[in-house]
Amino acid sequence: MRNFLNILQIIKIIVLKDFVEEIKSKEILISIISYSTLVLVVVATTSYINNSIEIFSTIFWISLSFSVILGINKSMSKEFENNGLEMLLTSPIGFEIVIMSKAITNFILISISSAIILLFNNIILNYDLYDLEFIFLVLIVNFGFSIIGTITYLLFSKARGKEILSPLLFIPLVSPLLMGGSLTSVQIMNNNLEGYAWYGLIIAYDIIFLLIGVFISNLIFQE
Amino acid sequence: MDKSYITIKDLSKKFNENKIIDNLSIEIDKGDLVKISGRNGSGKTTFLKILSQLYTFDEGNIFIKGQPINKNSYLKSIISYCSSDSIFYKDLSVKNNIIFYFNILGESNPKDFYEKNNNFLEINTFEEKFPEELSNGQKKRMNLFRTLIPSFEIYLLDEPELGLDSDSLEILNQKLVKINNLEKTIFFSTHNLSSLDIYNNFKKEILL
Repeated sequence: MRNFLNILQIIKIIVLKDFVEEIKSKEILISIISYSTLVLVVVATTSYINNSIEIFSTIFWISLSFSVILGINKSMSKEFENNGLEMLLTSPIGFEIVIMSKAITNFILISISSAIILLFNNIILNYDLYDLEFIFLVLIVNFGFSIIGTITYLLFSKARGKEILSPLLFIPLVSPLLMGGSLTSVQIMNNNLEGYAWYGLIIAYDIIFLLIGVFISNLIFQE
Repeated sequence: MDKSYITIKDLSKKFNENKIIDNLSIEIDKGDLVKISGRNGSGKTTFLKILSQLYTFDEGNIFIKGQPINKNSYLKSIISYCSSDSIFYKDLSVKNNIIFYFNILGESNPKDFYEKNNNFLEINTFEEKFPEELSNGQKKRMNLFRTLIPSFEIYLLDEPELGLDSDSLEILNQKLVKINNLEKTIFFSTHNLSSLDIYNNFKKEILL
């Protein structure tokens, strides 16, 4: 129990450090929100698409997933600039805690961005998406984005073309999340939710990748 | 169980096919001052990074206090590694960088601990600045402060004198003498033995 509390305390310290950095630079939030909003504005100007819930839902998830790539790359690259990560790796904390902390930071930042993007949706496209089922869906998909994005960035962190290689692996891996998110949000927007099977699948997918991250942390960090 | 404080047996490390460290064996006692020498690219930094558990090794064994160093959190808690590069988060002030590190080391009151010691190497004169606003010497002082102020049992110093002015060198020398008098083990790599007086008291040498 004491060990578990220690782990939570260390995760809190790392996440707070990331937030102090983000408050100064604002790079992650700005990159996610500006890219997603830009896509939504383009969609809004094409009025015939505007009327289709299916297409709107797909575009929302695709724009979010692509902007998340920008955000996670920015967030993770901060650890590698000036070897800041070495502070974490030489201190007496497990490598798996570093991965979990970064995934939690990314999850919180993506979720804040999603809330703002949904607000813009409300204003620009006139879709009211502040619905509990939809918000829960966005949160579990976001958690999947953040853990998969964190792992894929770290896997290629020592490769020369990491900015290209990481999305190449990220997009196929998040496809099940995009499918689930897109299909379920259409059902929610039509007030016709057909059960919670996708919710269960998405949560299981998140847990699998969280465990993968914990198990491969030693392989990722040690040279 | 080995009797010596640190035992290194047949240590080898290679990058791709290039063998950087080849069958290194040595025993180090508690409180030893160990000089690591060798030409550029001979593996001094690699050796220190292996001891700090940043790098793994291919062959051999390393035991510290009888424990193997592989993925050992306890040993990480007693080893301080001061890199020759500047290590920092650019969006945190000097003070916040150091307090963050003290925090993850598990200091019970990192802010107070920092405030009590912030005159070491005159860190307090630029503590509110961000690292990218600092000179190389100031960045070095920040790194030395971070790695020398908390109490460890083993200190790994990779060219710690690099970029320091004469006043800072004198303060660093005094600090290292103080640490060594407390029976702490210090490994240092340098190309300039005359830069710090304490260097001349080294007890063992590892030639790479």
